[in-house]
Amino acid sequence: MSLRFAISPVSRRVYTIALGLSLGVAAFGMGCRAPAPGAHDRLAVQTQMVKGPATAPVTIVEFSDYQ
Amino acid sequence: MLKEYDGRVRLIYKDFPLPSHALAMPAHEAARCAGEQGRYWAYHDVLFERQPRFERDDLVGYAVNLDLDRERFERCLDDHTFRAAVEADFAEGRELGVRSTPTFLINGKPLVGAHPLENFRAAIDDALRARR
Repeated sequence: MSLRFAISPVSRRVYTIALGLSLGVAAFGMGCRAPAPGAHDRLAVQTQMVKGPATAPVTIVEFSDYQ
Repeated sequence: MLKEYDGRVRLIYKDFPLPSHALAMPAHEAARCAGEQGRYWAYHDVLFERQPRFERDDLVGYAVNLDLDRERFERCLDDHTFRAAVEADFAEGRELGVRSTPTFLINGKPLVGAHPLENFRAAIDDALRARR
């Protein structure tokens, strides 16, 4: 499994999108309620859409839109 | 960042094509069609580079540029082979409270919107500390 991520699109977007958008975190309360504990562990995982080992202590689930 | 946190972070990408983006759904389907031929991440990267050019001809062209089997890719796209899977991701996101993109769940803790890498590092480090 490829682990190239240093300059991945995710990172590029993180860098290039205006910092002001990061205020989106403040919108957490408006835009995303906290999932139930462990809810993300029950997500269906398509293996081809995963990077990194299943044994990793931290899992980042990214919900994103290409457009 | 996966390299930076080698072995300690796993990234799971979930499709969340916003209904307001008319060409998002076919793009998400196309990425999975590329994945069927073993090039999911390569195609995924192309989509972010070329957005929002996601007309059918664009999507097929990107596949051809990646040396995918054109006929197989077109069949996958036209048959909507992965539409249900994309919709299932979307439904999962909605169930978890996702309302906008990108939304990241870092060990379940939401981080909404685009952020500088420092914010991700802080969230990941917090998650790692919590696991100790």
